[in-house]
Amino acid sequence: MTTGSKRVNGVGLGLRWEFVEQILEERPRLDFVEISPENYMGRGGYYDEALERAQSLWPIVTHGLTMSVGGTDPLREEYLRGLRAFLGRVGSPWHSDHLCFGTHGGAVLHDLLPVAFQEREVSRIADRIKRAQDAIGVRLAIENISFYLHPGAREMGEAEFLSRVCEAADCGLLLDVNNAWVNATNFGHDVDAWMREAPLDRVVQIHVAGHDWFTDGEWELTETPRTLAEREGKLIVDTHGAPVADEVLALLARVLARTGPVPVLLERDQSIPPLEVLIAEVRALEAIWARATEGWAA
Amino acid sequence: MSAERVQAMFAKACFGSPEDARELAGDPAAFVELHDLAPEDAAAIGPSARRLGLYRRLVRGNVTHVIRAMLERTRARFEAIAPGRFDAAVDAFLAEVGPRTAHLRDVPAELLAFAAPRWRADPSVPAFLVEAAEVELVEFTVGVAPRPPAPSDLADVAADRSLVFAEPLALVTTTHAVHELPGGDLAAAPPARATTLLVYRDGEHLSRFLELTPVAATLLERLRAGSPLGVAIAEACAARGVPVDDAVLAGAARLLADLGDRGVLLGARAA
Repeated sequence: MTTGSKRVNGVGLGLRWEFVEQILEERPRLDFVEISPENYMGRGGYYDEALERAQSLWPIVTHGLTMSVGGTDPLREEYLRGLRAFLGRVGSPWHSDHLCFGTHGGAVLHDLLPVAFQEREVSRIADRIKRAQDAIGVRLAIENISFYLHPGAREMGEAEFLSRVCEAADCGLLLDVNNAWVNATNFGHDVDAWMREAPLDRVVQIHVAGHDWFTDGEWELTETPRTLAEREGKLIVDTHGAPVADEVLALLARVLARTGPVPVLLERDQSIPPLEVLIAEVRALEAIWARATEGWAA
Repeated sequence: MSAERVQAMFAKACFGSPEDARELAGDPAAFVELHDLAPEDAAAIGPSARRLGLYRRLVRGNVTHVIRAMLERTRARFEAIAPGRFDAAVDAFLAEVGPRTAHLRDVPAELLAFAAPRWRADPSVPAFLVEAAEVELVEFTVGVAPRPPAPSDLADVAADRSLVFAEPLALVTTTHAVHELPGGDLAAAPPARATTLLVYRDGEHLSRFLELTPVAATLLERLRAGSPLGVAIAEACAARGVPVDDAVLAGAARLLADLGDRGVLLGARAA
């Protein structure tokens, strides 16, 4: 994939306000950075200048938050028009958003809420993805989310649902391996079996992030359980607030060995450590990426 | 229809009033039953319905985080002067309207549009607190608003020419000098003094304030509306009931020179 003349692959970092000034000054080697258009569209001043500086340093890919492809409200045409213009400006080779709903009754919930893995939802959501993809003018990839409550009767598993939606919409998949691991752990299924059923041939990008354990009921932060017995009464929340867990890194390596070299993006949104710590995590991911994909042609 | 009802239930769980939250926490399965879901959906959700409470926490955390960050001083003053009224307004906003914008940064403006009339009608909320909120918000919005390109054919300032300013700018009129509120004294009240502030963005992308005299404020209003300089001065003097004399002309010259130094006045339209 290319953005302008810049090829996008390898390992990138999600650009966040907490360290944007430092990273623009220090200019570490990064294969790409990812931004959320919602944070830049219609903005000027410092934010606009930071975006231009980032564009001059690294390829940029975009990852949206509020498309609500799973919503039952109409797609917001004004948002899609603005997004199309923004994507044209930054030259992202694809755009991703989440397989979730985030709007209802005209309100925007500003979070990622789950959709039901049901037969009738496949075609309904695929149709919205196709219309959104047409509206923004670049390939759309949808991301599997972490969820904590399946919103209704399950008629199929998440991986089959993802596969069928991607097939019906003919869209890409942004595979979040942390989300897959979190869901497998919270709901007690085999994440490798999940990966065998997921449409890995459609992966255009991978996300990795950290998570935290909470008590299930009071939602208080708690220690990471060390045994299966200690997991009782706890669940994982996809906070993006910790280093990527070792189990998720191992899963990433197994997935990359199957997908081949696709771009991997480190996300961190809470408890953000010093930039050098994040860059060290990127370097560790690069080593995993190189080992896992060494058998693949560039 | 099934998805619509399920999503309505999630939206209610997340943005519903504190009373809704108590119902959800007290009997999650009963909360689900209120939403007329398909029986198989209700049966599937029921055993895990308490996790709607987690979604409430996550969704509200995102929204309230940006509100508290962008209206940090306002909320602190509310807590010192009218405890609980700010957070109650946030609860009411979420329950009755909810964010309509795709941009989290615009949620505080939507909150203020909803809450300001209610606060003005609330005798427990001093009028200056609402004005302080509006000034804090405009400080942010001027700092991040897009800057349209300036005309390429700028001319020197002259009495018969319209002037060009570096947008974004805002003129904010208040009944209290809220910009003089001391940062360290949250319970302080500002002087009751009709005030017009010019809010502009400097070269470092920081919002700056300039307090204007009444004539200067009206002059800038007229200039921003497109009146040529000479006409704008006459209009401002007429509106304020003062003669167009040497003092006014000297004051206008000083104002324009100051705005030029600040990078606010770019020049005049050539045509």
